[in-house]
Amino acid sequence: MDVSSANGNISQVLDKVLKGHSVGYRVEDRQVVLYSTNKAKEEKSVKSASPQQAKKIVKGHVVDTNGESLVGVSVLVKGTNNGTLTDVDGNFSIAVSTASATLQFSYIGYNNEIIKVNAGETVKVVMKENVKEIQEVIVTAPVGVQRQAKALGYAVSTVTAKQLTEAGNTNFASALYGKAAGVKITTAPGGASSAVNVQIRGINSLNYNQQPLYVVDGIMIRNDGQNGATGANNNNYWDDQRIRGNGALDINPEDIESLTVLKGASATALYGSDAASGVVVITTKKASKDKGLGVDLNYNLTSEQVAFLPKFQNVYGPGYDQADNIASGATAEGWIADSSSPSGYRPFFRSYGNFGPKMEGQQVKWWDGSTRSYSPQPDNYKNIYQTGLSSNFNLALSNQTDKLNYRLSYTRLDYKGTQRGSEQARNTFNLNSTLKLTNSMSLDIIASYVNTNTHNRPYQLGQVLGSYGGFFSRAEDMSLMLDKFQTSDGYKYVTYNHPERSSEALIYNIRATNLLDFFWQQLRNKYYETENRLISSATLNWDIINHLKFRGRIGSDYTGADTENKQYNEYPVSFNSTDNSTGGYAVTKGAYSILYGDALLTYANKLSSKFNYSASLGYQGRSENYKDQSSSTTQGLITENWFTLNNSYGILSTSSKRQQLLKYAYLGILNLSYHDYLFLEGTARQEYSSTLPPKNNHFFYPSVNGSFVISDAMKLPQEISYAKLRASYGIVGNSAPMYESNIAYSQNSLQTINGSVPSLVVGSSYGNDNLKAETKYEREVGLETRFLEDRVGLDISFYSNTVKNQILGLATAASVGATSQIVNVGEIGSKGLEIAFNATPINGPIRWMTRFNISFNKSKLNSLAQGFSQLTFYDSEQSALKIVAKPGEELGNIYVYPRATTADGKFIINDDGLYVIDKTKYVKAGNIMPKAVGGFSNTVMYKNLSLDFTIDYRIGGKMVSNPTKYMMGAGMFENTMQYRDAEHGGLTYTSGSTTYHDGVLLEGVNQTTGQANTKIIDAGTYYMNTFGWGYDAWNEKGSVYNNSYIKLREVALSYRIPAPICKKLCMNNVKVSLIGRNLFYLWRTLENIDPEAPLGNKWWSQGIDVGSTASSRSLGFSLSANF
Amino acid sequence: MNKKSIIEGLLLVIVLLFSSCTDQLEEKYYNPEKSTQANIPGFFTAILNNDRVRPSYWNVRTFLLMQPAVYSQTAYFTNNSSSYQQADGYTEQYWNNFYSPNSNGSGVLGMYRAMEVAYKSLSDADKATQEIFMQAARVVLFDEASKMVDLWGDIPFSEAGSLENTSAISNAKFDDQKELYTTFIAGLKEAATYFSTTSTNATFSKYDILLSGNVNKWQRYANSMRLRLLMRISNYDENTAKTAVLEMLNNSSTYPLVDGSNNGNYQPASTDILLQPLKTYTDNLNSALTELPSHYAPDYMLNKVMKPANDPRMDVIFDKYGATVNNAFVPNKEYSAMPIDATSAFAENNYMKYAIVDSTTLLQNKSLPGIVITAPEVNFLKAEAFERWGSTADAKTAYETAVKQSVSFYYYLNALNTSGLKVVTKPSDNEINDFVTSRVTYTGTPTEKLAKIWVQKWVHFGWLQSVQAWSEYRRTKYPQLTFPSTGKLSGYETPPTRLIYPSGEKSNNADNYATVQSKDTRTTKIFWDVK
Repeated sequence: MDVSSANGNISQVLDKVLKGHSVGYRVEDRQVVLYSTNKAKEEKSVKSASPQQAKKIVKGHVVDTNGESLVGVSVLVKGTNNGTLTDVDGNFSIAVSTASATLQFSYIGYNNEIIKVNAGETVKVVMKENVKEIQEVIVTAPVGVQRQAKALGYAVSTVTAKQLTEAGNTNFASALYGKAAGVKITTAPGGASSAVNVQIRGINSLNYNQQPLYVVDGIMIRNDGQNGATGANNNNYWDDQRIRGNGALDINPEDIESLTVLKGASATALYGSDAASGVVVITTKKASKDKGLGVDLNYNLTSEQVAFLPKFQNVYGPGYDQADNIASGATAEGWIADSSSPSGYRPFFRSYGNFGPKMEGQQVKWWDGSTRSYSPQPDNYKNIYQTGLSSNFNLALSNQTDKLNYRLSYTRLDYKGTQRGSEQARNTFNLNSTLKLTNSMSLDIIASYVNTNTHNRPYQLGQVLGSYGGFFSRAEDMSLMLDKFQTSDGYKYVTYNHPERSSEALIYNIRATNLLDFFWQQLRNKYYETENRLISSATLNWDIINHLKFRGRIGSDYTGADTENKQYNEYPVSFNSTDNSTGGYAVTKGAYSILYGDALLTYANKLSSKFNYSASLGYQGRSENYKDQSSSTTQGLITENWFTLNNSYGILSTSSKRQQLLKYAYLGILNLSYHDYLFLEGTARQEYSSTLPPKNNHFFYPSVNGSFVISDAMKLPQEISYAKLRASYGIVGNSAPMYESNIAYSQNSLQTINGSVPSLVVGSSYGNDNLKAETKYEREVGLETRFLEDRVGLDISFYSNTVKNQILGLATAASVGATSQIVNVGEIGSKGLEIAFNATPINGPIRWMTRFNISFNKSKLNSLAQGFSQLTFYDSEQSALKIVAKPGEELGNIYVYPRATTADGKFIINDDGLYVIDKTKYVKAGNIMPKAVGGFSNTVMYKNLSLDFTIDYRIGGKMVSNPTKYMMGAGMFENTMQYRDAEHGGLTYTSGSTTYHDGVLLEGVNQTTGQANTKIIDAGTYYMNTFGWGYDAWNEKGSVYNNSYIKLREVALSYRIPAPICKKLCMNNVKVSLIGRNLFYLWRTLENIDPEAPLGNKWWSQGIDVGSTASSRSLGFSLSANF
Repeated sequence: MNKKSIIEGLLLVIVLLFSSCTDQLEEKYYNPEKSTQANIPGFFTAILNNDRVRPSYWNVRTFLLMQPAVYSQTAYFTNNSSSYQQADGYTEQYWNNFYSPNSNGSGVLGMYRAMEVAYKSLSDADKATQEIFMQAARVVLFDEASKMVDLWGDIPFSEAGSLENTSAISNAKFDDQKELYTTFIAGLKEAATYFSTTSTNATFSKYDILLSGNVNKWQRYANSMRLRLLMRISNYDENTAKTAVLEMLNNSSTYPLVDGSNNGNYQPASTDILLQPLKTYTDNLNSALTELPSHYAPDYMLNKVMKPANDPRMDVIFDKYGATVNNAFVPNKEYSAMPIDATSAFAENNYMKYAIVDSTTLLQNKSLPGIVITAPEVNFLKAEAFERWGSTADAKTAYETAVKQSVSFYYYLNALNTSGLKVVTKPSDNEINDFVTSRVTYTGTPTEKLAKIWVQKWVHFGWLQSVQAWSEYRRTKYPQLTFPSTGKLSGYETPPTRLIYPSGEKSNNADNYATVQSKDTRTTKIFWDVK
């Protein structure tokens, strides 16, 4: 049977489809349960109903096994079409025509109850849950076409509303951790305002935006299109350091009804070129079809604290190795003589190393002029941050009449981040309505308005905590730093060499000025972002004539973004130099709009009683428009702290940018089914894209998929309740980002000695007139089975894909005349296996349901276009550490310069007693991609209590973190205690007349003599040289770490308040929960860095840490109720 | 709204989408903010508009003051463990800016290739009018490329710029540094000859933001560059240098130079090759110098060279500085620089006792031009040539002219400051004459005389022209500087003799890099560094 023709009002369609079959159905929310109505045929004739006056009333109350009232249970007088639904209190009343009747109660997820009643009686019905039926759902397949799950020839992962909201996540994507096989989530640290990355089935593209396409109620929404090829967060030490958000954050999880992840090429082929990295299809909540007026309320409050911080040593304070200390004017130990200090010495405040004197509470003069005790500050790193708070309130109103049904919701999110100064507030209004125009025509109107205000968005702290300029010592008290970043009159802190600027000038030169600058940015300066976004759509469903249907849709996604940046004057204008001041003011405005439209004409009919078919023809088009404008003061502000463009010291700087894109496609779909157990679908798409050179701007691709429901086709052993085989093959084309392939020049008007002269500049990324679309070819087979009356389920998919003509903004040697060019670079391929398993191991008073998934993926560079020998994705430490791929190699391999060895494998030690690094060759130091990722979710229920928890994990692969190496070289970590004293393995030696116990003797042979190394060096020299910046360091040890973990991601412990109590409160279904997210690692291999620290949306950037902000742990509660 | 109108509306939208799409597809392909029309004069202006030549914040702060100025001691640097370690990312940017433009540097080579491609497509008539742009651009290209060779040695050149050339990536070989010098020297001669016979035109005068279309100055620029390069190789290949240099010096009418008419009291603005700041430029070098910090006076220059000679340039290059005591500024009594081996702790406690770089001339002077080549340098080069291959009397004249011109030059820079800071009046010619003839006297053995030429030239270069200062220091080994080496990272105890190739080039041009990898150490010498 073909039910692929429906959209919108399912009931109408199902009524029609099921007419004449002995199949009944129930609808709850978006799920449809089909059941057999065995006796329906015999009792058809009863349709000629008895006269009204003959009817008598039966009343009743329906509850579940917990005594909870069930709302919307369908009550049917058997043998008639006379039915009703229970009301919000679980009560019903129905007229029966005879003195006694048989009532059938049905409700989604529950076993049918059949009860004999007598007229006038009041009954209490208890319904028992049934796991088996939950699974027969209809999913939303390509282009909004709905199909039965069993007809799908490819894997999809569906996540329910409950799973998305139970732990109080502020966005849906971070709620997906571990919940869908083959989907890897990485949230940028920084909390609710930070972008979330979703990676589906490994590496689908080597460059540019790796994010899936988000389709909300059929509309392709903006994720971060306005950022073009670079994407939202760059994972780069130099560019914008604010951790940006992406458009996915604007979709309110409370408004989501269901979320489906489409993974393979066949599943996504109809969505077109943006779907090459997968599609996340989101359907927002509608008014429940069978409910009347309803009000839903949800509230959650969580507090966030930074967690998973590095393990610091708390013994030694600032100072370098002995020789460096002396060369810097300190004692060998690291004290600086200072007669004004009580002890006669002060600490070496400028040192980034922590190889100085032991912190033993000595009274010393501090850099602010006070006398303080020289003591460890174990929590100083943690105290950079604050406790964050997230409050999320959601109220939804829904109603339904014959003509109209709607759901209107309002959500208010208030968020205070763990980074000081960072706050966000968001208002979301969502309307989802269906208007029945005629019997054959209905119109869905959906609108969502999101207003977001963000203040001082968090920073990635690479320049602060990952740079020597921000290294504060273990003796530094964070409350002092927080006190001193500004002077008492609101100017920026004054360094020791400008005592004329303030009497509060620091008296000594200190190291961590980058940290003071950061506090100045976040706590004094103000950076406001306001975003107003309206996503709206109208969909017309029209049954034109029998078998022929039309669906047309038009939608838009508009965002107006405003930012205002107020930088305060750093010192009084009287200290300005002649040509500039400090402070600044900037405003930027962005207007981003997407106009989307599609139309689909479908003809469905049957060829014979066994064969059904449907054919669709359609059009889909999208036009995107991005406008940005920005103006700022230059050279500072003339009048102190007056924030307006009229207060610029220099000539105003202003810029404007327009970007446009157009994509459209013609598509066709053909569906065939045989006996309702064999299904075949073919699709074709001819696509046009304005982002490719005109001669290559159109491309065609087909896909095919099929499924075979074995359990319907033949008799299987009783243990197997369901079995389906599926297979698919698909091709998806993908075009380039806007304007990247243009060969064009920037013109600037220069005001010169000759007057205004235009200069014409070739860009540093070069275009390509021959660029072609890249195409992904994917094969997939899968098996879906359920056993033991559906108590155990297993879903296995295997896929392999290749992406040909891979488009890449290839980093080039500057000597070719630009630093990158967009090219079709070659072919990559991925293979993977996804396994999802679910079971209900215990099903009694205590009920335990568990879901487990694991996925494996391996991606390779298959071949490169002529002229390229290898691809370099990442290069650091003077090329001592890089991620490159040669044809045939796995993607993500890390290569490092090794320590030099002699022919017989002994390490070569230089005359300074340190390892010699061999810069003539590279050795592989691992791969950044995980071997396996997945999750393990559980629900345990007992009476009114339920416990949900999700564990997610990553096994295998490495992380590259140069900042960790620098911090190790600076002696900050516990692991650098080694060698520092006799207790930690330090050797004893005498230098001058002093005996030291921090000797290190590296095993190996001397570079010049070839004899065993005998040079004992102090621990400071060892760490500072071996783990310093650059290619002379032992990068493999310092920067490359195993990265595997098992994390308790989410826990929700809920209590459903018993119905009688609720009733007194005039509420229903009141649930209170304790919730926690990112609670702790059950196991992790990384010691001094969080596995989720990295930022950026390139495929490799998740394996590379360039210094980010700390991760956090959230704890709180949530409350939900309806009226 | 009735059913019919909805359907009609919907169909109309769809029809509109269909019909407008095809036209828009191509229209939307090109970035509306950019031009697709190649234009030789526009490219030429872009080449000249180079913030690697002008004293811009980025180049001074991240390149000059962190590398060449340290290695040549023309600026103060903090003594720490990595004082002599090159900042890889920053040096890579300098490298990249030679090949590919961004806001810091003009990408001379890539832009020149774009000009060549545009030029090739012209008709013969158009070629004739545009040739002047090509010739001038080539002089600038060779000038910038020679600095690249001085910094790194072998560089990709002849095959470089394939993207502009063919729109495809074709990695370039590293050309041999000696051959490149030969190419530059020959090319500059050819360009000088061209400019000696060509008259300017209005377009060229407009787009030439360096010399406003003055072909005589272009000729002098090309000749003077050639003189610089010939002297640079004179220790490695003395015969070639000697022959060519003497030919130029003995035929000064055929080979006019940037020599300020050999007048000590010359006008740098009218004769030197200086790239003026844009009229919209309002910044200065205060941050660039004070951030590291680099604004303290360098020991050898002030204490060993200028102060003993009571050099009149001291007043415009340095400031005595002083301490703020009880809210009152107490200036130091005399010029004095911190010792080169001062520890950082010492520097932090005592910086106020020592001189700093002058505010009017250097720290807060938004009018500072980019220095391409100046008369004092040319006369120092002449002095060296005469001393080695001609008469020592001629050498003396050239040396004295050069020193006087250097004084004029720094007083010129000082006087450019229009911000209201105090401008120092230039001493009288007599005073300057006295300085030149009795305090930095051209006497002694030929070696001593050469040493004087080189030391004075080094003073003249200063950190503003520290790329030249470092090259000449490596070539001549004068002044005889000492560099503190205790407490340095292993392997970084001394300044390098060249820069290490940048990571991006190594990775992405790996095959060609392999041929020069063995030479890619910080202690390899540039071919002309043979003393």
